[in-house]
Amino acid sequence: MFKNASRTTIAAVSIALAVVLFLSINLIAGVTLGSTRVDATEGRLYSVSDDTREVLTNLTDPIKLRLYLSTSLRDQNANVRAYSGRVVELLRTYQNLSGGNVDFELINPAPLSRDEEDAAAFNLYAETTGLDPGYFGLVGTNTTDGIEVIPFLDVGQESALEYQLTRMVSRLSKRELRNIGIVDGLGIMAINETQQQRWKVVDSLAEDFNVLQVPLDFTAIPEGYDAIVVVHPFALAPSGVYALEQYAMRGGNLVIFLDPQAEHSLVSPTNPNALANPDSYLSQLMTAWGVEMQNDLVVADPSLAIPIVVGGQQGAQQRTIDYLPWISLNRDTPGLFNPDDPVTAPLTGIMFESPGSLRQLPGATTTFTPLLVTTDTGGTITQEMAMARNPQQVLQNFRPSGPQVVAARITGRIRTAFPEGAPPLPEVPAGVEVTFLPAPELIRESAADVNIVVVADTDLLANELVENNLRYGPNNADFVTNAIESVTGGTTLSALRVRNPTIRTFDRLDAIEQAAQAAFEGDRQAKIAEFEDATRQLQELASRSPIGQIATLPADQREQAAQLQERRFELNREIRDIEAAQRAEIDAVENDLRIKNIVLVPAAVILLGILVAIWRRVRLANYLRRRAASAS
Amino acid sequence: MRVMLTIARREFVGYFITPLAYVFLVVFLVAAAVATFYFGDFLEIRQADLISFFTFHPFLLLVLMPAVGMRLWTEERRSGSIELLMTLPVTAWQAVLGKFLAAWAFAGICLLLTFPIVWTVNWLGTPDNGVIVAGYIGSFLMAGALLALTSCISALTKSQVIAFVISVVAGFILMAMGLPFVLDLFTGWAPEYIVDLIASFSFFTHFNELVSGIVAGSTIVFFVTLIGLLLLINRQIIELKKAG
Repeated sequence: MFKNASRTTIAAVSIALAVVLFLSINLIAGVTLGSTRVDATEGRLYSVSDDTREVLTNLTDPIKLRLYLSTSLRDQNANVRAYSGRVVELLRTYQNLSGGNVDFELINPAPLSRDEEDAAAFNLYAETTGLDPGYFGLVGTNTTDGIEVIPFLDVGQESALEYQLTRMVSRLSKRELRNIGIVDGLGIMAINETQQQRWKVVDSLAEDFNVLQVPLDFTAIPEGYDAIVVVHPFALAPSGVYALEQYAMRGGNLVIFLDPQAEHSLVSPTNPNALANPDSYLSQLMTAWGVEMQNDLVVADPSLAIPIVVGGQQGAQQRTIDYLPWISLNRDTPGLFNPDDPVTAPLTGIMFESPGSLRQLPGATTTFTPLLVTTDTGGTITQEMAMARNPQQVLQNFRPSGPQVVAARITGRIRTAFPEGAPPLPEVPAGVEVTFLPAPELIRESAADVNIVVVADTDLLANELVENNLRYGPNNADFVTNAIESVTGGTTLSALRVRNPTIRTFDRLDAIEQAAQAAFEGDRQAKIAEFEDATRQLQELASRSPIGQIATLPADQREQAAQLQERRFELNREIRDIEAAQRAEIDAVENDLRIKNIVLVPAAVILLGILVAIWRRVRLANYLRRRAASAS
Repeated sequence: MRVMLTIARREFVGYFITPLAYVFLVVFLVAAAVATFYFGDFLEIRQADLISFFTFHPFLLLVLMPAVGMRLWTEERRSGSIELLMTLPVTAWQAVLGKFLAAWAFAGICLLLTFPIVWTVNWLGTPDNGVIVAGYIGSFLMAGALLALTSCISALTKSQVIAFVISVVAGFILMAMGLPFVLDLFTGWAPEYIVDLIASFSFFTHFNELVSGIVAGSTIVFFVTLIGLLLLINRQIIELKKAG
């Protein structure tokens, strides 16, 4: 048959066949090799962790995951297109690993369609960049009316994607929720008399635990709790403290939130500018456990400080100023989160307001593992100063004293703080009918190692801090969940690390810059002070004139003003020179790098080219000479 | 195989005896570095990665690879040496592959000579070198695909200029397929899987995956089969021209 066909036809047919082959191979590869990939990143950013595998393989009941992704949104934005591809692929991987228990559906909620109504009903966030609302949210449901929603999958939260998805699946899976008891001295559970709503952090905990309240006058921890969470225990009776200790002695799990300055505690009924019970130390227990939250000291750190708005009253200019005791710990700054502990490993950011400083006491029998620390510029201020809440005053008086621990894990054997035995039960006023549980029998030393998490702040539980931080990924609420999970030794979810595409900076340039800053900063500050002083003197001189004009002053004062003016110009130039000197080294390094990169290799290539040309010419000349010689 | 490698070696050495190769090398290296430092704000962003560097590779390669490959077959055709080549005991496949490999190796040299930037970023901070290697793999594969395309087109014409211009345009189309404005042409009427298919044949889609550190099976298959397809077409064209 081919004999008669022309070569052109054969060529055309073979090319057409090759094209078809190419398309089909790639189509098949797209389907079958979808998740075959080598993850070349150091942190294995694109691989599913063992923890996720475990959650998925342990599923017993079906879960449906619906991804609402508007194609309009996806096609408008290259980032969303790339990220949605990754999300879809990860969800398909979940589906495959779940042994059929996860059913994944990709929905394009077209405008005015039934799907769009559903998306809106699930409270998915609609981004409106074009005419139509663009959805990119995930809804998970189980067979028992459980619903979990991620309103919008933000490209910026890619690092926490697996954590978010696995948490969703875990929360939807039918599992027995563990009981946690909350000893609530702060009001997070919404005490009836204040008519508050319970705090968001409790809502978040309720997704993973049965949250129960332990009355504040407890004398023993009843059976049935998997962990006790103590929040701001400012007024626990000795019998309550004893009960907590004996609970820990018997292997009970504790997470304790103390605070030297609980800014979200109740305001004093007599003085609206003061807090009724600002601090809680639990010092008797802490001392017995070899730990101390330093008395009357509040942690501050200029490197982590949150700016707040001040002024705006009585005509004063509004401005922002760093308030040192309010700190935001972010993964961008290395060394703040303990990377080896499951509580802190998955976090991306956490905020505190006026936390305390924890430290190990000398001669402690326990092991003290810091979970969250400030930077080297951390230090403390007095509780009194924190109470006054004057940012300017704090800035002026603060002296850094090194990293401060704001959360820690205590492990090992503990000894009792009550060697004399159980304290008496609280006295019951006449006419009130209360029956207390009998105090537990004294155990002097724990038989096994305890595992207790102590956090030196309660404000991190407040709604503002929990919500403020939300868009940065796992945060305050996750920290609390992780802390409780870590002491109960329960699910593997808290061990699911967030594989951040870790931010890597030019450490060397930063170091050079800091050194230059340090070398010249004192000088610069002195000049600035002198400049401000000269300015003030000038203003003062001008104020002596009735119309505020220096020109109207007597000659000697005019002379003085001219000198001051001259000095100001000089100082201004000197400050600029210092600033230029601070930049100089960095500029030199940067220029050096530019030259090395842009000029060095190309110059070498040109040189090589010239050498090759000369060599060839010489060889040709030699050859011609030899030929001429042999010819003659 | 031996014949093919001989051709490749001869062609490869041939690059370096003309000034042209040095000019290409210098232009590529200077352009890549200038783009990284001045347009990519490499030093200002202060991130220890090479995103500012790789971002410009598609555009640099889009212009420079056709420049490297445009004379692969046009010269042979213009000077008539193609007839001579084909009278030698050399198959069209060997010739096509040999020339392609030489050009690809030259592209590899271009990329290797950008090593100062890798040294620089490692000196400045601690980058993820796995991601950087993946980025280089991406650049090398894309260079290969563009060279195969140019080689194929250069076999169709005797003019280097025409070969260059058509190659740049065709390369641009292959790159742009994943970009929104191209997909918009299809989203209205074509079924979604067609749109996804078109997007999946974009250089950008695959290159970006590699630059972010993912060496996906489908990406490797895409580049390798695309190079294979283009070289096969190239061979058919040579066979036809030889006969004609």
